[in-house]
Amino acid sequence: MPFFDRGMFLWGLLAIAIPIIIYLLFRQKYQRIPWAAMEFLLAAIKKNKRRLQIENLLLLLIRILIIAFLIGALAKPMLHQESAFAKHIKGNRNIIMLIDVSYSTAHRTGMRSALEKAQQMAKKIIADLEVGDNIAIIPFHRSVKMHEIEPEPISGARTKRRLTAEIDSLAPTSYSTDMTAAFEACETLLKKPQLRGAHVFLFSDFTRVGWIKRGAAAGSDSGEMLIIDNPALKNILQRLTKTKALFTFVDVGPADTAPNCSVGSFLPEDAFTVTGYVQVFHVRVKNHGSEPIRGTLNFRVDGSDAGRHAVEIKPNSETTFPFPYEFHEPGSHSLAVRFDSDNLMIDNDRFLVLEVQKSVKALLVPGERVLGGTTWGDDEVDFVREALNPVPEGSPAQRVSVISSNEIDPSELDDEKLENYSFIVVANVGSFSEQTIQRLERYVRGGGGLFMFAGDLVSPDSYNTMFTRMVEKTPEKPERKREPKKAGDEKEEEKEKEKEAVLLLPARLLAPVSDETGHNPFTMTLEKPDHPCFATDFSIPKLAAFGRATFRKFIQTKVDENDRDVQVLARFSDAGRSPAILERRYKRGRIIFVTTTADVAWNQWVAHPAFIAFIQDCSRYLATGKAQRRTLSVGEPFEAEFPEEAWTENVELINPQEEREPLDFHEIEFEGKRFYRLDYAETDAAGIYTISLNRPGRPEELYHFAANVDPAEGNLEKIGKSDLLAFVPQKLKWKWREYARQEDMAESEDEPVAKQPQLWFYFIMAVLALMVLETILAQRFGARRAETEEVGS
Amino acid sequence: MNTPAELLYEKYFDPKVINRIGSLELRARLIVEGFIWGLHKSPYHGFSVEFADHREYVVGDDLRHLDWKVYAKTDRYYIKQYEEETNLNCTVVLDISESMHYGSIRLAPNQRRPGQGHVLTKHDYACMVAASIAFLVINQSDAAGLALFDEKIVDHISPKMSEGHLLPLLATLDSREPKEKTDIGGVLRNMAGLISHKGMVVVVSDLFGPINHVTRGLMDLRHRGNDVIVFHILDPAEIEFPFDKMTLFEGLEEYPELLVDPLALKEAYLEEVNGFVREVRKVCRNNQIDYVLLDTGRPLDEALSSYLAWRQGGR
Repeated sequence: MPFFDRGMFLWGLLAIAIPIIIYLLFRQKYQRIPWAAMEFLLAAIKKNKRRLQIENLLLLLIRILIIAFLIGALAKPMLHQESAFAKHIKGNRNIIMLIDVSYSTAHRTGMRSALEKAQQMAKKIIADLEVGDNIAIIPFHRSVKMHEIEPEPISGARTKRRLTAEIDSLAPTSYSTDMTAAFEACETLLKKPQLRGAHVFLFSDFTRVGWIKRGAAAGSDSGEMLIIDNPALKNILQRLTKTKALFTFVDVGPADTAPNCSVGSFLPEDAFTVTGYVQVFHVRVKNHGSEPIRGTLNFRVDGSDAGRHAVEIKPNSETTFPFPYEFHEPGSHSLAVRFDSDNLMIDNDRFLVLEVQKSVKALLVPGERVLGGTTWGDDEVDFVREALNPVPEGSPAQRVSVISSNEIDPSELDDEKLENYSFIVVANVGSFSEQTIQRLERYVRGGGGLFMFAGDLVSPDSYNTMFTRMVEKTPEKPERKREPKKAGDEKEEEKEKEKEAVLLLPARLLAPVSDETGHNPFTMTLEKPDHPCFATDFSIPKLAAFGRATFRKFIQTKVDENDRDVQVLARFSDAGRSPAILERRYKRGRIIFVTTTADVAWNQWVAHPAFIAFIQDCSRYLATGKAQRRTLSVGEPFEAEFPEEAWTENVELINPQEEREPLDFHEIEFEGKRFYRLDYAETDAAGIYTISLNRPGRPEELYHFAANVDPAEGNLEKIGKSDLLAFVPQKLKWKWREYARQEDMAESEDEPVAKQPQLWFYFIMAVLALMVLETILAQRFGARRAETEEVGS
Repeated sequence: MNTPAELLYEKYFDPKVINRIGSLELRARLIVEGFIWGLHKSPYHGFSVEFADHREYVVGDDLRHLDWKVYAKTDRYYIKQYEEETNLNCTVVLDISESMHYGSIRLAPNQRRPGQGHVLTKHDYACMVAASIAFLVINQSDAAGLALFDEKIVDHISPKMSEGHLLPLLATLDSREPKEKTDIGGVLRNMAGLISHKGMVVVVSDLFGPINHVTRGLMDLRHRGNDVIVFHILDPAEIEFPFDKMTLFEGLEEYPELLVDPLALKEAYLEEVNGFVREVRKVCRNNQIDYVLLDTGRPLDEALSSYLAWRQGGR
């Protein structure tokens, strides 16, 4: 059975109607003549009718055939001997197609991208299917939308056309690959009766990062080959061996690892971006290939050019480029960098949205505050305040920090507008009201940073009780739109809301521990030296105080080892290596708890320059919670809260493709105050998203947020057949196919593809032969018709 | 202003034709039955055997009949007319069926005769032939009659030899327009019955009809002893079939419409026409009937004079 490489040309077969139309039009267009000698005409017709009909039909048929063969030749017909896959699906008529639509499949070598090659081959398989066969098409990247996938029985040409259209509609996404998700989806489908023991085709560019454990791709920065060590994936493959399914892994990527650069990170040097200060943005570009790559790195702020570098990135290395920029206006600013160089552009872009502030504010809440005290150090937070805004050595009058602080009593916390502060320092505060705890919880949940110090006033039992909150479980998906409430619904909702006890502190506080003798003070060692709270290089002798500072007392804590949101950043040198600094991630915010004091009551550390560095680093780390909400990864839902006065019916979201869609505010009530939340989960494309608020009588307000691709996917290093042989369980039945660099499909060496007879050549020859025949016949018929016989007189 | 008679003359007589045929004779080849003297052999030997009269010599007269005595006296040539010669009754049988209404030759305004349309039809041409023959016959002191027919004889004027008889003939020609279908075979057979004396019958027609009917009718006329001349009038388009575009032929005489590709049918059509002409010509030759194919595209003076000269020479 022949198939057509360019099937679209077959629409041209409609052109065979042209000779017929011409014939019919010719018959429609005639002259009208009164005629006397009808008897002779009738006799002539009677004698020649059959011959004329045959002649006309013969010429018409030849002309139709000429057009049909010509169109056929243009459609590039080939003899469908047994397509490369037809023999595989002969015995097993049920197919599952796993099609990789991660962004690396947009990489183009030659005429087609990896995804386009996959589409071409998938369509050939669909063409080979017959009525009664079943098929499921699973586009995958890092996840699979299983609810959209159902096995489809082939019921005829219409089903095939629809499936082909479905394949054609696939486009590379902005997501990275995770083979685990693909095989999990496959496993689910193989349990369906229609697809039991199906033949599974996996079309992918087989980049190595898709096969390794999620998150491990960060190690690709080292430039070393990524080793497949993915127990979860291996387990799924192991389970798949029991399904008796046959797998064909079709490599549609470039033959070798393709050269590619990606912008790995795009970050401000300082967590605080304040008007009037120059911020430096560092852009890290990585060359994943074995050849140096030259290009231009462009930096744009709010859509305008703000700088560029002509760069050359050495093979298998990365280079960081600085872009200094000073903002003059506070508010939301969008930034973008682009590296113009290679065939895969999506990972050459990186976006950042910053909230530029007029200044950074910290709220200091000391537990012991000497009102009207004149001695420096009387106040619990004197050292912290000094560390936040230190005096540079040699120029005591000039303070350099961008942080300004405000100090209040714990009792004033309820009246303070916490949202105005980037982080809050609570030092040796004995008790908090219920309302204060609620407000602090809400503040941290919204991305705020809470910096807590212990002290004599801190009662472990009281703290453990106060900071254990019953909070609602976070719903899995944000509610898209608030439905109007009906009477009586509220009670039901109350019942439905599940609550859980959450300890806001990083650990349960136990009894204080002190060096009773006073001769063996404790020292501190860093447990997580790479943590952003220790970003300063503590190898500088002047700052190398973490090892030398001494601690006389601290509060012992009990850390829940299973709590993944808690980590111990530093420990004391006591026998139990008790935690000294702990961190809890809570929702979008962070809580740092230091188990010793913020003044010299329990330690000498606070008087050391290292404390200044620690406070500076910590404050930046804690204050980044809010800023991070504006720069997301693709697929990560966006959430933002707005005060009551921001409410408007006219909220629109403008996505990176400049398409607008309306959004709705969701109302939240807290402490009698109303807030409004915006949720947006469709961040499928990388780029800058803009929220536009239009309120009557006020200028349009714009808020930005950004979504970035996972740069690890830009590493096009391939996993080969040999790697898979080592990784895939032996019992799994699988074959390996490659789509070579050429347009035509090539199989692996052990199964060379027979050369496809190209029928189009014979079609062209047929056209030529028919044209000659038509000319001869037309001339012969025409000549006979043109002959005139003189009527003798 | 011209009188109706002058208009008729102007319409049917072309001065060129009259000039060319005026000096020619249309003599019967066979013995004809006339009532008075004339140019033609009479079957009645007892009738007017003596010298009857003189008449002026015209070119072509047998010099043996010149009266030299009169010449000596008057210095003019006179022919002596004897009693064995009689006059000729010539009946022109003209087809006025609808098929005669066809014509393909467009006439320039200066070519049109009074009362004539834009196109020269076979009927126009045939009328001029009929009028010219009548003029010739009467001019040579013979009797000329006229019969018009389509599917039947619609007008019949018995032959008379007076010059004044020409006008009624022309008026009769002018009074009819072709509109009915034809039955030439039946008409010719009827015509044979109407002619009581052997004479000359000049058939002017396109002869469209079944070939056996046509030839049968001609033979009937001939078998009754008439000297028959057939002027077969055809339009050049009917002879050459010069159409090259898709054509809807609207049949005259109740024939249906036909949409055909003329190029595809030309060969077959010409075969049919030629076959018909060949057959009629053959029948005429076998029965001593003069057959003259007149193409309306050919000037009438040339066509008639050449025929008459040929006929005169052949006598």
